[in-house]
Amino acid sequence: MDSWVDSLARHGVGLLFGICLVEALGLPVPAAVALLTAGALVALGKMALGAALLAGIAAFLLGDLVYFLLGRQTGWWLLGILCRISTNPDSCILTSAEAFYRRGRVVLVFAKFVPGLNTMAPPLAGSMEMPFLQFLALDLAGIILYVGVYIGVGFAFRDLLSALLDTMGRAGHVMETVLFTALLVYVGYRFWLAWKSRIYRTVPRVELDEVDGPVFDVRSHGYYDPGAQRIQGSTRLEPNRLPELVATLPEAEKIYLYCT
Amino acid sequence: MGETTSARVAHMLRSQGYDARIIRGGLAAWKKAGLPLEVVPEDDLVQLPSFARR
Repeated sequence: MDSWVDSLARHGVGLLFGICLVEALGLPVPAAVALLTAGALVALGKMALGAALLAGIAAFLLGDLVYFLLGRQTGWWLLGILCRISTNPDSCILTSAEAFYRRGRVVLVFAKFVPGLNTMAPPLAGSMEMPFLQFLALDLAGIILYVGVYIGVGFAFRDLLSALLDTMGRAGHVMETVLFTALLVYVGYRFWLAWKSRIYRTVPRVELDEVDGPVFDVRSHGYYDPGAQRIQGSTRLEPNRLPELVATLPEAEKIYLYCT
Repeated sequence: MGETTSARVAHMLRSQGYDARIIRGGLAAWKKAGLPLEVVPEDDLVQLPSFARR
């Protein structure tokens, strides 16, 4: 029987590093559970405290730096991609950027504890042109807090945790089960989205050479970077402000919409 | 992708009586076909907040 505790003890810090890195890059893996387990292992003398802390901190720092630099290099492009995974891609960039700005830079210190925001914060900081050293200081503080809290809690509740994890370990491959369930939920969610959008298939499509009338650009992501392009002569129709903009549209003629 | 937002918006507009249609393939298809583009005017760009020291 291969329990979760045993496998983390055996593969140790490498596995911890991998799980934390994957979470930092935005995939729904339970890094918090891995850190709790690592804390319990440290308490039981099966893992070195320094190695556990270092693995967790280094993994998050690496992932966050990659996203920060990518965010800085690509402007809002990376966030557009990350936002596709979110529930409301249209308003995702603007609302997350504004929330970040309103609450201030210190958001970085607590972002790791907030699902969704944890992945968005570093690339947002990059896109919002936060100075590098400032980002490094705030993000590192956030990482140390997150890794420290979970390893600390795991350390303090080692008996409870090892009993719990042992039971789950005997029941099967916990880690595989958790990951598989997360995957199923995600696939189900995508299917639900596709099913919900089936009514949109009835909307008439036209070919490029059939366009004959006013053209409207309904993209919400195309308008962040200077030098962005759009179809010549088209007008912007911000999808998030549709109710107030509807009145400005011509009622009697055909209108043509496009997005990315 | 490509038509997700436009389909949603068009559907909504049609339900309100507008004759909205979608350009198949969106901007990507337009670009690929080499049809004319323009740079988005400065005034239309969304001003997102920035932490840069200016």
